[in-house]
Amino acid sequence: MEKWRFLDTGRLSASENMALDEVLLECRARGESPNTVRVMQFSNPSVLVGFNQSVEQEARVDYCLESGIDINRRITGGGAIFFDRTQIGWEVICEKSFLGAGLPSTTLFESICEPVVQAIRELGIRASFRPRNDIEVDGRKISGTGGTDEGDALLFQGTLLVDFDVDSMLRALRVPVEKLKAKELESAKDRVTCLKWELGHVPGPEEIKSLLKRNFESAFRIELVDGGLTREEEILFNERKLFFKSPGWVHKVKSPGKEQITIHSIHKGDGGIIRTAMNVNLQQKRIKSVLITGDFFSFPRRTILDLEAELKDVKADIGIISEKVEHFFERTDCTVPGFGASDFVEGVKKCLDKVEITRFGIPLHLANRINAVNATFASVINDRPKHLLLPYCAKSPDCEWRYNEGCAECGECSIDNAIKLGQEKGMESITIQSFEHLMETIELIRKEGATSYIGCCCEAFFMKRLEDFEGSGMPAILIDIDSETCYDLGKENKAYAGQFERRTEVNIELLRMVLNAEL
Amino acid sequence: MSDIEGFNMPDDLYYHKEHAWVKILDDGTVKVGMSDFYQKNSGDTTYIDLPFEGDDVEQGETCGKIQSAKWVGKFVSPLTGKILSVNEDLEDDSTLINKEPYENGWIMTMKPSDLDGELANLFHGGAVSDFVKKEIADIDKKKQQQ
Repeated sequence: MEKWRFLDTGRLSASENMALDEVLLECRARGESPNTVRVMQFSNPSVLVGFNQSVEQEARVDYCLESGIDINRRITGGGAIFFDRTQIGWEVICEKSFLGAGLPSTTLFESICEPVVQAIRELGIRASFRPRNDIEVDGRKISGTGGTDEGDALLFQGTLLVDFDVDSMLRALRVPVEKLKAKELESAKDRVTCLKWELGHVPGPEEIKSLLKRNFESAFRIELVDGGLTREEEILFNERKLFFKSPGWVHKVKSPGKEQITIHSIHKGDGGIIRTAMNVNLQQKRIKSVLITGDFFSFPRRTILDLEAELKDVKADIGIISEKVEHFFERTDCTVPGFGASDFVEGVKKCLDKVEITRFGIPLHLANRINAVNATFASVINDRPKHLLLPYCAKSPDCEWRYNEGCAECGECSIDNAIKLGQEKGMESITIQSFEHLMETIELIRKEGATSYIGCCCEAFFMKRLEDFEGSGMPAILIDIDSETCYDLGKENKAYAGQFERRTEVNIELLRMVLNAEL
Repeated sequence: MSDIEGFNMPDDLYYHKEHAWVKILDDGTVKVGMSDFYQKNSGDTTYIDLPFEGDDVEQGETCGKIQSAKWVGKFVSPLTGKILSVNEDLEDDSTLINKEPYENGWIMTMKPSDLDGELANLFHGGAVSDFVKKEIADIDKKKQQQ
């Protein structure tokens, strides 16, 4: 039976662990090191970005610094991960010929993940391999993996979530949650699991390591012999440690923009609302990750999680996405009552429409606050709308015009500025007093010949009235307003009665950009 | 076009064991890319670190990185010589390697320094079929073990 080394490197810093990956792979490629299964832990919680990722786009750097979270870069591909102190990392460094495959195929990934799947099953958890390269329990990820190669050797590694600190993960990584609201945190927690959540207790690290060791031995038909670093590895490790700590390595990939922006959309289908949050690699025009939430049920329960996994790394092209989603619904025979494949495509499309808005010189973080209904942003702009609808709640509570249509143009609130911006473009401004007034106004301007309008309202109002906005049939651009709205404060009923007594702000900067938008 | 077990491996090209193809151009320079066998097995290319124009590379030397899903793989030069140009379109759309591996998905052009000598180390003609079949057999063997 072939003998391999079992290397337990214990707790090391992120830079040391990453340096060691490179050293072990390089020495194996040169034929100086034995085939190895390594297990590892981290001395500090750490964010590890993938080889080709930018730190600024993937991590909330300030939060990490304040919280003592190390940031480093893996030599393997894949997305950014959060490695807390309880997690166990495992990896295989061996000659490619042992695994009989020179290419990164699903077969290769599955054969390396299988021992880990078996180890988790031995604990009594129904783990399985999810192509292309994750290990899951009922659709929730428990181990993510990545790999790389050099010469005739490969390194394939994974995490094993033990007692996962998901709140810190969500704060340390720029995952597609916008404001880290409780509901968003909960839905993100549905996407992962760990040994503690499954078992109700935390197995000791030694027990886990020995389970991994035994299962690698039986799956690979090898004998794992405990061993340390070779002299060559020690020398190289000491040489490389500093480099892996340096900004030259950690910040090797510069972000095209300053930070990752999560794009959001809301789509209303027969079954209710679908909220889609998406991170997109703008340079490569590719979806990085998607989070789909809403008040719906799916059968099987894991459908949405699988759909999200299906859309990861897909080209941000609505034709390709549409094909993928439709194929997914056909292939998996899943059901989401009240929704079809086209509803989920629409959610993604609305996110991508916001990316399109950046072509008009509007930065993505602001484009994210624009919703177009019944038409694209571009077609409304090309239509040159003549009406600007503004919310009464942006007027001062003590303004005599607060509950009346019109404005004294005194300069005391953002409505005045908005009206002036509208006048510069020859637009008529109307302050909207209530939902009914809004609907009447849309009908009125339609009769006057209007074919589109621009409006300002909060996202909560937009979501609640989306069906009415769409039902009116009138193309519109709706710009989110600033500050706490009646919905944030739980006073939407008072606001509906025209009695909301706080002042919101029209986002003047964004309104100016929209009114000046030209291709 | 030559179909080998469902993979498009054109007859006029030469293939390196790390799956790069070589096309000899009329002026003696060569065009290089990754084969259909590579792209179908590896899946969508998500990122490419292109080689550098002007670099001198050796046959079998890693001169770039190609990422597909979570795997950062190496791009190995199939010949020794100077890199004349790289396909910058791949930076905008690295899936050209998948969509058009032998056309717009090319990776670099080179001026080889020992073309005749090194072509002997590449697969060509009937040898391509043997090479692809062996690779498939290795994958199948692994599948059966699972």
